[in-house]
Amino acid sequence: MSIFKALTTGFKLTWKYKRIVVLLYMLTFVLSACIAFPLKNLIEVTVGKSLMIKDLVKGVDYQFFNDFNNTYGLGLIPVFDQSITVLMLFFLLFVFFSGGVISVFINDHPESYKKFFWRKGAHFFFRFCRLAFYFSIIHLSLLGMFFLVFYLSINGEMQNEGTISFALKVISPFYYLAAVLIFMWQDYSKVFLVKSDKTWIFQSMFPALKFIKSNFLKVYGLYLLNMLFWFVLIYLNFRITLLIKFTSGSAILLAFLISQVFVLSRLSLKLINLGSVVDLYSQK
Amino acid sequence: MSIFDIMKLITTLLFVFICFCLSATAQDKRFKTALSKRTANYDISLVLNTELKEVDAKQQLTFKNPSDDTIWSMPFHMYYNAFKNNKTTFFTEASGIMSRKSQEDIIEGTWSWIKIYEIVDEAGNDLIDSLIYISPDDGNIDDQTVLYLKLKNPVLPYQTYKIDMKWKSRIPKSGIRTGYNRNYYFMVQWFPKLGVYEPAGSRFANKGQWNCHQYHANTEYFGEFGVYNVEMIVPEDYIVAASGFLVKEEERGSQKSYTYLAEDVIDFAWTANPDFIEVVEEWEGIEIKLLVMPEHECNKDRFFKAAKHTLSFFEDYIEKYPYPTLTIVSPPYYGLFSGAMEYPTLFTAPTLCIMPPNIRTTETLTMHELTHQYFMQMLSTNEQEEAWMDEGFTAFFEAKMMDIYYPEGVFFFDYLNINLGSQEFRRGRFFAADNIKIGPMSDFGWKFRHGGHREIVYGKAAIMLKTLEGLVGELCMQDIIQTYFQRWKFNHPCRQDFIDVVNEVVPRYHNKFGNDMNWFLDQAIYGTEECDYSVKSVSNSKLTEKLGFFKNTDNPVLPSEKSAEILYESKAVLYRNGEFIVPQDVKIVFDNGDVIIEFWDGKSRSHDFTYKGNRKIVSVEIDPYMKIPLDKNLINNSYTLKPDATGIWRIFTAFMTWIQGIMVTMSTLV
Ligand SMILES: [Zn+2]
Repeated sequence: MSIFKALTTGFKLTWKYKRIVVLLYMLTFVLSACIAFPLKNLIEVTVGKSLMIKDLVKGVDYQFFNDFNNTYGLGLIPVFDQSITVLMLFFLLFVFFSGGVISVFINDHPESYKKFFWRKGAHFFFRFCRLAFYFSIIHLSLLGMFFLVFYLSINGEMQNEGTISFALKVISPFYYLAAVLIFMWQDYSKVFLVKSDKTWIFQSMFPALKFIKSNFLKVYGLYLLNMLFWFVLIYLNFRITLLIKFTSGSAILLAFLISQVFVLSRLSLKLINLGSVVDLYSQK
Repeated sequence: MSIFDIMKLITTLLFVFICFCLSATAQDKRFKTALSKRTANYDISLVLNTELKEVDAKQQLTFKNPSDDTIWSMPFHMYYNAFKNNKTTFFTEASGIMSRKSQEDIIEGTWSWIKIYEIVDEAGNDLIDSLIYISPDDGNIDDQTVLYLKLKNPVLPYQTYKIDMKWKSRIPKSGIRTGYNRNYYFMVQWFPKLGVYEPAGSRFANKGQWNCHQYHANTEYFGEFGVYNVEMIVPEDYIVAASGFLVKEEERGSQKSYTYLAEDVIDFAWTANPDFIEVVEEWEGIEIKLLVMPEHECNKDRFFKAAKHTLSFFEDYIEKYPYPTLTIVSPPYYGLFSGAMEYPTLFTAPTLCIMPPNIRTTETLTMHELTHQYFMQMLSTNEQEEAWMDEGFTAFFEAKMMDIYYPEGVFFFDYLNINLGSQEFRRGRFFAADNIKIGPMSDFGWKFRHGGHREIVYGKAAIMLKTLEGLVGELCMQDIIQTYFQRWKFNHPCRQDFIDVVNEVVPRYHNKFGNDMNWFLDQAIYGTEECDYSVKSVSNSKLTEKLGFFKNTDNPVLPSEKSAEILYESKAVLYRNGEFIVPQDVKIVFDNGDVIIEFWDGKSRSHDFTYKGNRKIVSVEIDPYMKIPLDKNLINNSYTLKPDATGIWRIFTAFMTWIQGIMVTMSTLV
């Protein structure tokens, strides 16, 4: 049962290096707070004294948001611009950390992992950046290809708009399965890159593809399982949030804490996935 | 008598009975007494050629002169000519319309038109040479949407006059509001329709005159009340629905003829499509017919439910819908050009089965278009000159009904507790417009050359009426609408007629607004200014005792030693930020629990309420009962010294969580 073994190893590795998960989580926390505070200040300064503020506890108050946007909407532009900058920064930092995480998982020396983590992150940073760039192109091409199929399937004199939803229902599962394949390829390429330390990205991408081909059922099964966990987490997060009745500050705090648990869980899952990929790779 | 004879007799009796029933039903549906003056009456027989996309028709117009004028001319709306070339008034006004016309049609020169090729008066005079196209609105010589007929014999005062004509038209493909696409036909503005004769004193007429405007991009139609008897001959597999009710259905070889009778209506619309499914329900003797595509049948109950709610609402609010039938046409997706449009006893309302039930456009459109049966079908205001008088009233009632019957909102979603009410949505869309001051509601539709027509005639008008209701109260508002309706139903009121009713009814309920409501209505109807009141500040400062030298004191007054209770001067300062003036209730809450409702006439630019005593003001709220949705910014209407930041924390945490969610999702791409 190498899939389950890999999964368990993933869990173990993530638990062993839980400080990395905490670091990543803190990163999301601090960066998102950096964007959310200016928004909070904007609201406080412009309309903080209004009695309408207390209606926001329940959730979306269309009247409030509409009037706010009409009157103070310009203030939102820097907040959103800043959000984009911070998200870009996070992306780059995550690229940096990915190299570190995979190196730590492959070498698995708990005593000296910290130095290793930072050094390898820096060592592989530019190559991981390139890898992310190539795979973004591959992802976009895949999306474009499926969009083309979708477009061709509904093109011409469509009988009715039901065709659109039918085509979407038929095509999207295939897209999902294909996209998972690319994500998987990306993860194995990273492992190959760290392991072989080659200059050219393709020198890791092709061996990774070969590896996937020869162990297809195992690696794809594992990946689908991981993706399933991912969706289960998101769904649970959504359902649990719906259960909370927002009437007071404590309900808001509770909801926030729950959402933080889910952020932490999703980040852990990302690392579990990488850990299990490393394990399957080592089983070869 | 053999068993066969008995069977034969029964069959015959049954047949006679069915025929009787059918004719009796058709007979029953006719009004025993006319509801309107029936000024312009039409007998039309037409053949729809689905190969050539043409209509060939014979038409008799019976016109009753409603005045003591002698009339020498008749103008006709020839609205299919709006699609005759690319320089018509319609095409020049409607930006983006050209893109709807296919390149193939442009290259092949396929344009639409309508022309009269035979016309005689009742004395047998051939009038074909007495026809000329005119452009009363803009003088555009390329526009042929108004045809002017110079009569050889005049129409004498209060006399009836008949005109017979034969005409032919080419149906536009996916035109705006009317036309065909594939085998769906939606036929409105499709026949030579007489203008409205306005005797001196009616609407804005100083002397007897015709009201007949060109076809504009922003506006549609205005018509005279009458009876329409229309025979439509279509290919046999086509399903037809029309204004009024079916009186005859006949097979004619490969064709089928449907004859519809519509009484006391201002227009006649019809539709044909072989793919329609017909679903019929009944509500208090009214036959509600839904023509829907098979792929949209899933939503049929949504239409019926909304339609019945609307009928029931107006039965209580004004009076019962008087017509025997109501037809809802839900077009296929390729017939969306016919949009959500209203015609006498028939309207269109698109729907989609892929639309989730928490988006209530099907209901909103049904309620809106059905409301038009009251506002501009029965109360026949001039849509071209005063669109707000139908769209504004309709939007006002649509929002009111939606909020009553669908309290979850027009869009609702459990996550973040989204419940978007119809009234707030209407208001929000208006205030989010590019320029809410672009023109007064009283402008003709085509005067809005730089946009904003919809925002003003739907949004501003609906919010103005809601504000009027807020000011005068719901009971008084209902009285206004009822009086207005009873006085003007099956007639052509204009804004002044409505204003007169308001000014007559309101003083019966209130004496606080003066002799009339013109101070409000003038600003709202003829003005373009915006309304915004705000609470600028709230302060509570300790009252200090007299210290120092005063008149008649030789020694300075020193601080007293007794520990008197602390007194405050509490002050709330209010601003009028906009030019629109409206009186305001102001709610003032004190720290000891006292609540005072003050009245401010709202006229000065700033105003304060000041109190002295041992209590301090905690919060101030302008318009606490939300009577004035016309106020542009409701957030600044209140001010509290004890702000509760929990709501802001809710936004903060939600926003933070979303950003984190995006980050985690982005991490999959690395
Ligand atoms: Zn409307």
